[in-house]
Amino acid sequence: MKTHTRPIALPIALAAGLAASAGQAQVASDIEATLSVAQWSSEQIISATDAAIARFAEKYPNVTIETQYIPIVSGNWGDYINAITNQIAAGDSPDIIAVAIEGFAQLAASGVLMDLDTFTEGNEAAAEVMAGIEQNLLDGMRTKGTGELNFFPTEWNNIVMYYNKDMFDAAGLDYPAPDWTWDEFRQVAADLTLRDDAGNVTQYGYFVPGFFFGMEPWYLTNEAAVLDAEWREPTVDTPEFRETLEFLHALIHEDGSAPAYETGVGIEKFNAGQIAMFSAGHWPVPSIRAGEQQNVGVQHMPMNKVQTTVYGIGGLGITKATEHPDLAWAFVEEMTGPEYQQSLADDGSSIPTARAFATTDEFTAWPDNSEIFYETAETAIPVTSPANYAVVQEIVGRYLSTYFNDEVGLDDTIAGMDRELDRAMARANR
Amino acid sequence: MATLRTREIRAGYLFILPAYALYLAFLLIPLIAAMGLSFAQMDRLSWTIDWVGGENFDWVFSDPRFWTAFGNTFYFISMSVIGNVGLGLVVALALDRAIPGPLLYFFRLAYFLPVLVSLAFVSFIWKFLYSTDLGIINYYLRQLGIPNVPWLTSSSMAMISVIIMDVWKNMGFFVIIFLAALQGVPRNLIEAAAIDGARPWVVLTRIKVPFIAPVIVFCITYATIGGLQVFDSIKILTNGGPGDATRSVVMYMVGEAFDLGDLGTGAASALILLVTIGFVIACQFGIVGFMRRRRKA
Amino acid sequence: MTMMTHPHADTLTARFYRATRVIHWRNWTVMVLLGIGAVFMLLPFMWTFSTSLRPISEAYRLPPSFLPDRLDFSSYARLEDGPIPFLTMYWNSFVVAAVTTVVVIFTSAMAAFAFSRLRFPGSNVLFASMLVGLMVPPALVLIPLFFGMAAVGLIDTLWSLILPALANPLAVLMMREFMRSQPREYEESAFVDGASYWTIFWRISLPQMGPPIAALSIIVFTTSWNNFLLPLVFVRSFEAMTLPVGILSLFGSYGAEELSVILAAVTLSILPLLVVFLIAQRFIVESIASTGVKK
Repeated sequence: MKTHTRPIALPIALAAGLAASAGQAQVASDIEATLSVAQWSSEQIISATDAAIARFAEKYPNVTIETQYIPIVSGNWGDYINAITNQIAAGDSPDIIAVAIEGFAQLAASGVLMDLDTFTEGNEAAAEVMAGIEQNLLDGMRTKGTGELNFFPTEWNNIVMYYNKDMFDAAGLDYPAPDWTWDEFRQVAADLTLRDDAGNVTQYGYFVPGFFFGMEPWYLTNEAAVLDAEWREPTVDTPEFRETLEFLHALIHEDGSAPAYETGVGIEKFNAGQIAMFSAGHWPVPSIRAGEQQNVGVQHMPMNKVQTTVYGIGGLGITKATEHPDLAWAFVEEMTGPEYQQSLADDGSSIPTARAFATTDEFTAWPDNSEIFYETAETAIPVTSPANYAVVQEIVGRYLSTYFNDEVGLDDTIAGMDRELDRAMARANR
Repeated sequence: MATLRTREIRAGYLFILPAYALYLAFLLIPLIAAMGLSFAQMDRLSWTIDWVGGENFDWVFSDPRFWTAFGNTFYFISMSVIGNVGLGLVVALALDRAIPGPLLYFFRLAYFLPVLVSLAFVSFIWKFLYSTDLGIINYYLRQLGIPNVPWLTSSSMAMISVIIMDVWKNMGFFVIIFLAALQGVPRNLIEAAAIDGARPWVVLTRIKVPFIAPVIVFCITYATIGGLQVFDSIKILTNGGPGDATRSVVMYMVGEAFDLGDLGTGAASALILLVTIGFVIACQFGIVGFMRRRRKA
Repeated sequence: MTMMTHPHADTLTARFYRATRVIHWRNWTVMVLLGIGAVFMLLPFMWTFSTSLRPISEAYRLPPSFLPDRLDFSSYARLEDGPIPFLTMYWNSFVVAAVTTVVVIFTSAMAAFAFSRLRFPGSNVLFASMLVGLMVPPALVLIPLFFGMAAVGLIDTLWSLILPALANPLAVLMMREFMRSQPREYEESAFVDGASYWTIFWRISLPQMGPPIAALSIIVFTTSWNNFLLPLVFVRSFEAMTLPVGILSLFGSYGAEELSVILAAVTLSILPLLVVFLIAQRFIVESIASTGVKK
């Protein structure tokens, strides 16, 4: 079994050598080849990829694209990365891999990805594409530590506050201002919580996000974070982090303005008219639009110390195992180019990375105030995504579930989370 | 007559060959390979192996979260065996009587239907039923004036909720097995007892239950094995939470092997589980054998 | 006829009828209780079905509906129009489950015949070693299996879903238990008449096993139809995808799923199992009735 290391090392060296001269190389349009592309599965991705393959076939009629869609069950990126890692280990690596930021570092750390700078440097078309993308988003594509560009961006999402305008109107409340604060938010959430004669809540003000990505802006607007900026050390044992957890805990247990904590985003509860506000990216838009709540607005997340939010981004990487790096890059260009960006904008389940497609009147027409989606691209902070993301997410989620359900006190929560994160990060940094 | 004997032996091996070859290729050999991993640390990508001896076992034995999962698993087993086998037996005995044809069809279908559905879908559906403030069950409880039950959101309730769903899902399997076994109870025995004026309760405890006792033992063993391997339902329903309140040993194993990428530790915890299952089953058979001998004595 | 000539015929018949009438009264109570239980067993399915008939916008509304208040099949139509090839997955699921069931039933019946009817050295050891397989958590053997499958190039084929499911020690165990409880007189007399082991197995043992084979077929078919782990790891393309993982692909990665569509898919995935169960159930009842007649 040990002999397998050598055949892997050789292609890496070869690929690096090839890649060095790859930038300007033109691929002959009559090349006969097969490219395999691994992506996560969603209706939007499948249709958009089919369209991209059709366009690609006009340029390279003898190239076959093998697609592979791996379902991601309940936001578990670990399973997805594992499936791909298994394939690579079995000597059957895809040429192109789509990953969201949560999996960037893990895949990059395993050393199977090419540095895409070898394609983009001195490449005018790529330079043009990159100029159309907010620099802050592009920075998120680079692997911390090595600084390599291991992924090329397709789509992104940032967390904002969705609110039901009808419910604000019924309660006689003003719509939230861009610079609203935590205290204002807390009051609004309480005012939006309605009870029937028996005292049962019929409408909650807010749904505390039951997912890692959704919790991030609450830390960030209080200058707190799960890990430090380099994603190496835990920073949960800080007054700011504690204050954040206490604040959300109070919504559930003191004010009663949020339902009992459970995992999930809350989209279906919003659609059913059971909650007035929830936090998410752009992905709920198609489902809310198909629903009953049509009078909807979005606003920046409320702030305590700073106004900011979090972003997540997806991109395509090229593996060192590919036999056709230049052709693979050509397909990556197709999958990140204008037609693909337009199809993303049409679908609405994420935000195109290219500014031109994310700021059109059509894209920002609904929900109200949609301009804030791309506006925050400049300042938003990438979601905490160390190479051991799956572990960090599991630890934080586990402690939050007991704290927010009043099973364990705050001190024990912070201490336990800090201890486990410490060990996990020490293992990962080794 | 040696030829007859040789013929029988040869036939024995030939008849076993297909099933055993499949078993060897797709279960036993992969199992042995996985067991080897429990003494190693393996790199997932290069597929290189470092032998580390008992280090993985030391880690598992000293990890309090493993013991929490271990305790949870046995709590789950004891409750789910009682629920599945006990309720399954009660329902089967209730169904084993003169019931008009269409109604019998309906009952069998109703009790067996959950068995037919994928656990992935079942857990997905029950999440909606169980949701604390916005769920369907609590909605009706509130209509009856009963305060919200924190089905999945409190440590003390979460495992009970998992067990309720498990019994709902799997009970029908045992109902069918018991029903099939009850068909084998000689009708003339029951009729004779009825003619002698024996109460239904006596027929039940003195004739029917003793007759199907071996099947009951089989079902208990089978439910125990199923309980020890519980994974999918908890994974989707609670993901082991709140905290570690519903984490099972297999969840711990999968977490170590796949989420943490530590195949060796995952395999080590699975080996411990395997030995435990073997021990529990040996105990069950021991108890049954002891009881049989006492009855005879 | 015999009853009439029996000296105590009248009293016996009278007592038997009195006894059955008492049971009859109890029957009603039991049936009502069974009925209440059955409704509770069915409620989640009723919610699933009626929600799949609601427009997406009303899927989550409380109070929920358990009876369909309208017949809006648009969610089912969405499955047809969507980019996920639902019918292909349906067919794959069927092929995988059918092949698995036939092979497992056949091989386990053969093994059970050997274990319960034939004496040969090592049979106890071989049987005990198969019981070990009962205790193995499927997730454990997945990684070695993956590498084996990759080595012979079966990844992403229906074979990668069928082959691992063919190792089924539970089926062997259950078949052996059932076969041991069958009388062996017919087999022994056939043997004396000079029939080969194969003839005995094929002509006598197997036909005796109707009900248990029906029951086991349901179990094996359902397990295969619902298998989630194997397609998750072994299958990549929709050409070889089966329903459970395929349906979960309808989820967005962050829960923007359209509930009605998913529940429509779930409903459709249950249907064939229902048919299999209804057919096999009839078979169980009929074969039991026929053995009753023979006695």
